[in-house]
Amino acid sequence: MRTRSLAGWLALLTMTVLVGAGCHPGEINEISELDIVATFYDETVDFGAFQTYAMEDTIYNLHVLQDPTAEDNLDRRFDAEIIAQVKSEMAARGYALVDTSEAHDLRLGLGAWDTPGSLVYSTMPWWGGSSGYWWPSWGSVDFTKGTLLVLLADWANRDPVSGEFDPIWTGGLDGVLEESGSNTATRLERGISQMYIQSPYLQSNVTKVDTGEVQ
Amino acid sequence: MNRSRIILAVAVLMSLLVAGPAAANEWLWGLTYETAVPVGDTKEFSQDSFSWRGMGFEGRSFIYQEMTVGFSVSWNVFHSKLSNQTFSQPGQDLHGTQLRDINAVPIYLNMHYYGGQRYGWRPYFGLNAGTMYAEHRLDMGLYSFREENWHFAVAPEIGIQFPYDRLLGYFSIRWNYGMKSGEIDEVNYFSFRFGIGLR
Repeated sequence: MRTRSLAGWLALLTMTVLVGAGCHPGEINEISELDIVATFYDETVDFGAFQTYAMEDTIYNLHVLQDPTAEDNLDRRFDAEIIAQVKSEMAARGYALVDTSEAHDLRLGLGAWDTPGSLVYSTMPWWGGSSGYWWPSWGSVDFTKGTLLVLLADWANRDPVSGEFDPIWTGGLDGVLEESGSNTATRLERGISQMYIQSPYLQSNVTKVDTGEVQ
Repeated sequence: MNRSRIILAVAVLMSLLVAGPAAANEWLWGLTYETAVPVGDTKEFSQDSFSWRGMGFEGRSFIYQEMTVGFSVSWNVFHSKLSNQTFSQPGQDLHGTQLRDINAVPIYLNMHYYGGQRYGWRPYFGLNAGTMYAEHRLDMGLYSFREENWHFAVAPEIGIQFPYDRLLGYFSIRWNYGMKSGEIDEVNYFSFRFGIGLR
């Protein structure tokens, strides 16, 4: 009799273990949950001191920049929305957009990979000042295919001889352009917005004075 | 007394007890399903309130009618998913959905004192001591931040063994405490162990 009741115990325990093992609460259920917004910034920089920025209305394919013989397979359907939103976010932070031919404090660059990308922290020049050609080399981070990058460089303080400089702020939206699904536009909008939300130091003092926030 | 001396003392005590009185000399072997409740630093990191994932294996030898020495190995998993989290370090911020996991594997030597009569209901209490492997993992997107450490660990335990013949059942509660290891937080949780055994 005792043995039989223990056999029942065994069955109950086995069932409990199997049910427990079969449940996977809290796992990733949709692709947007894999999105990461990463921002890197130079802590020594006073971002409030900048007033103007310039940018080209282009999203560079970083893979093609690295290998000019490679084919550009980047999904271009969202370029206009991305560029417009970045400009809107910069304006909201008080930075005035000027033409690249005019004097400006910051240079903003947009890029994306159509292959897995790798960024290595170094002092290598990442952007040739004369041609507007940029070469990211600023982090020990591997980005997945379809990663969008927004970079800011201190244009006024670039090397006077070589014209080279390092980015002072970089926002990365990991892998969002890899597969364009029905919610890609939403993920892009949310991700670009988040880049700026988690970078509250990106705020021109000029605007703060204008709004009375800083005296 | 430093940790290595404590471990050595426990090991010597166990070996003396095992080699000493040749009482019943009966071995109990058990498998456990374990739930757990994290507390302290373990709760803070894992953000888990109750774990349904855990299992263990153990053996105990009766050196007296009322006393066992033995060993125990368990695996307890704490897990949580946190949306819209920002992970910050100097000069960088990462935002996204975080999966946080702690895998804890305590490996103990132990002593237990049993009340009651053989084959009857037997409440018991005891002390486990040994080491605990703990992996703290934070996953965001396709990236994983991971730390692995070994902690000196102790675990007071109370339980009850059900009436048995050849098979037996038991339930116990352990407070598992893996001490802070260098810069790594303590591992701290209560486990609730449902066991079946064979003698």
